[in-house]
Amino acid sequence: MPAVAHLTHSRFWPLYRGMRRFEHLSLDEQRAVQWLHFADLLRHAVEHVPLHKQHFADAGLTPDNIQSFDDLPRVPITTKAQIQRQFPDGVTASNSDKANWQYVSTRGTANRLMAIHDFAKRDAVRATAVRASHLSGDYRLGKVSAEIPPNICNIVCGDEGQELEGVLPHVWTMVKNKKFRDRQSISDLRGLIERGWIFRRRTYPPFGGQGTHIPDDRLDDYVARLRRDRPTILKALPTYLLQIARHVQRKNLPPLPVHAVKPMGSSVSPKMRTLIETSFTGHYREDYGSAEFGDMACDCPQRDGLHVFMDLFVIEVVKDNKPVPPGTLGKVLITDLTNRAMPMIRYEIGDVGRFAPEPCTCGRASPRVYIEGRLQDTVIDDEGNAYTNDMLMDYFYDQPGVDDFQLIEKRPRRFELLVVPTPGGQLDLESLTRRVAEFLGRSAQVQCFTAKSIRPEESGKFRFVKSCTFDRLG
Amino acid sequence: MRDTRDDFPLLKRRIDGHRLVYLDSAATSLKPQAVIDAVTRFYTHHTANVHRAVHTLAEEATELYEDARRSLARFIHAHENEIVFTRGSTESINLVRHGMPGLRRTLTTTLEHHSNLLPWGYEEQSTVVSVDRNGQFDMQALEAALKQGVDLVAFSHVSNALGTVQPVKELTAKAHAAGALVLLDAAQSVPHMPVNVKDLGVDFMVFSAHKMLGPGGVGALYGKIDLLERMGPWQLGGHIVDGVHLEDYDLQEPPHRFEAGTPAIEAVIGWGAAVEYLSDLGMSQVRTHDLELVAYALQQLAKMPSITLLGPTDPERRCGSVSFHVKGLEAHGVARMLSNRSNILVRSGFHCAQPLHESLGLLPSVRASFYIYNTREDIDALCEALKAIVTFL
Ligand SMILES: Cc1ncc(COP(=O)(O)O)c(C=O)c1O
Ligand SMILES: [Zn+2]
Repeated sequence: MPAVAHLTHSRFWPLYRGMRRFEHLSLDEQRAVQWLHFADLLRHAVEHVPLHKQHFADAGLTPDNIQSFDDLPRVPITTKAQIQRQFPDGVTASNSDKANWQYVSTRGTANRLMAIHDFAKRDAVRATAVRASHLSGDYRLGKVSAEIPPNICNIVCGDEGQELEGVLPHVWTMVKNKKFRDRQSISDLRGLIERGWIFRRRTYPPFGGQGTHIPDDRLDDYVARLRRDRPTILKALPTYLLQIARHVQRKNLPPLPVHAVKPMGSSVSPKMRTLIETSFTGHYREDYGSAEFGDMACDCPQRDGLHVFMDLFVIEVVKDNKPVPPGTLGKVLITDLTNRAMPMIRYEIGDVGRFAPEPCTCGRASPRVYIEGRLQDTVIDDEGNAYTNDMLMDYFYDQPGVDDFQLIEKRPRRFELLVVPTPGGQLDLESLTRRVAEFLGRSAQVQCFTAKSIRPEESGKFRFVKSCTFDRLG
Repeated sequence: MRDTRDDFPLLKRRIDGHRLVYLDSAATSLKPQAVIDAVTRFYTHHTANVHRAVHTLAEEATELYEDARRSLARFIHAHENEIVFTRGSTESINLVRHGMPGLRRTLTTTLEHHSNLLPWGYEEQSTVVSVDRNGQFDMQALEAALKQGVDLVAFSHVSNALGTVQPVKELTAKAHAAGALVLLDAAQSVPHMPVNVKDLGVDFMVFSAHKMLGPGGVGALYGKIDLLERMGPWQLGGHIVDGVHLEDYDLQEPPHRFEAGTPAIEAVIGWGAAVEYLSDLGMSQVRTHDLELVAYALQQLAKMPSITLLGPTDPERRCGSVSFHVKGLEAHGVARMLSNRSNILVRSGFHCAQPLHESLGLLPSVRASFYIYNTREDIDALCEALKAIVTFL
């Protein structure tokens, strides 16, 4: 298998081996390496990237003022709006070789962040994906993995992807069109070999636009595919996993043969975890990543929080730009230590989370972070208490008769609750309304409605909580 | 043409302190104050249902509503009873499809907007003629099909994807000579150029208010009166009948027999104001302005090596928009960068013409479309932003 991997890129194996070794270092050693990368990135960014140059000038700082991680709060935060205003010229390094660039996330809704990766970052993303699958899911190259991506629009947008094409048809097209030297064709081929032959990734169709609840025969189709492919890892939107798991329960089917079940995009509540683990033969596992950054952290066999990849990222949790103590909820900031084409420094990624106060018993030294949802999905009450997406999921999936829900805060403290009742269950809407209002704290007003399904957003992802008080978090 | 920018309140909006460069008028146009005022005035002073009562307000409302029909008829050189109000071009096309008897063999083209393709292109006896990269019809195929016998030819005056203007008069003459009726999708032409239905000779023509400064939710079907008289209603309900008895009912004359239920009164009245506004500007001047912008955009964009223009190179053969690909970048990425960086609002994708893109092997494209409030500065802003993006590839 490594021989085939060599076909696609030569830097992969040394990188991957280095990453594996890094995991065995002590915390102090890991931190020392992290600091070296960070200091180097900072100098590079301030020298070559207009945005960061400007940020430092505005703050009256030079990279030399940042002497250790204790000085981190002095480094200006980067927001999505700042990047979008100046993308690409203002946020990329003037000395980076543009011939090596790849645009990331150019599809999707207007609000999605676009980014640029160079070859080195791309290699790092690939190697890290294998690392995360291995550490969290026991995946090895050559085994099958499966994925159910969100529903993307291709009627209006047009599907520009190559995903459905096989390796051999692609080679044939290249032969036919004499495109052996075409950069794009080669890059596409590399991606296809990687997906199809190395990761052996099977991509199943998404649920579609109608929402969380789809007909039984469609669910049967997923069941059949999973029994056939027996993937080591199945990655899908939490909603999809939940619906498939429920289907298995309802129909009294034997557990599906998947070694590790991983949610895509956000996590699931403890109760959902249990349900998933009874419906699949394997365990529920988690990692933290995005298209712009790749994987940033992943869980361990303890399955309690996500160990940060400290050789690749600095992850911080802050409130009002000040670091919060472990255990305290705050906004997550990401610094990407491997993207030198488009350095991302203290980027406000839009998630909320907290660090674990204790070291992990698994033996990995790196700190663990809990990601609890999107900032925009975090409700804050008048006393300043935060209700994260994860907390609300835990709460609602614990309510009798509630199969699914969507909580929308229309104006501060005015909520509309949409409930998909459990088939055959007993939903007492009135008492639910009362309990929810109590749960959400003083002054909360709640109106309840039932629905057949929760519909996805334009992006194809689902939002179960929409807050209008999230900016109270600070 | 006079500078109209001050008439459009939305152009005064700032996002992050920067002005908007609206280059998506082919999707829908901005609205001038005159139209906004006409709608507000109706709500404030005249709200009532039309055709239903004898009280003062109802009479005023009916008069305003029918005035708008008259303005619109004059605008395209039709008779007022040849104008049927609908929800838009799409509904107008469907009205012909369902209301006109004897349309078995239809002909349309791959260039069409989905709304002029779906109603025709999927029937057993339908022909879909292909087009070349400039949007020119495959005339051999078209003539061969006509020879076989066609009941209706449906095509668009101006393509919303390639910007191509079709030689409507010639095509109509050919179709008529073969005994076929002609339906013209004028959604993208009526807003931009003088259109004279009698001169073009078409049998049906459809267009939408929202693309020509008017409100959303309303459009029209023009039909030659003798054809409208042969058409039955598609929807049944109030206002389409003269008398209703238990055993039967008498249909109203066109256009009323096609306007069942309460119409979008305020939208029609707003549309009337839009037509007056455009008439005051002069449609020849509007077309000249459009040609100037299209020519300038073609010329400026052609200077950029990473940009591939779609459609005819001769501006005289185009109208309203310029579509292009940017080498190495997905159309959506370009559109999002333009919006995020510079508040330049363009469309990306297939522009509701997926078969066109697929048959020509085209990826989704970026479309900049223009209207009376756009200027050379807007195109300069577009080019400058594109330069900043593409020098980065
Ligand atoms: C050429 C063409 N035909 C028809 C339509 C449909 O118009 P409406 O959506 O107003 O019915 C459009 C709108 O984009 C168009 O551009
Ligand atoms: Zn651990």
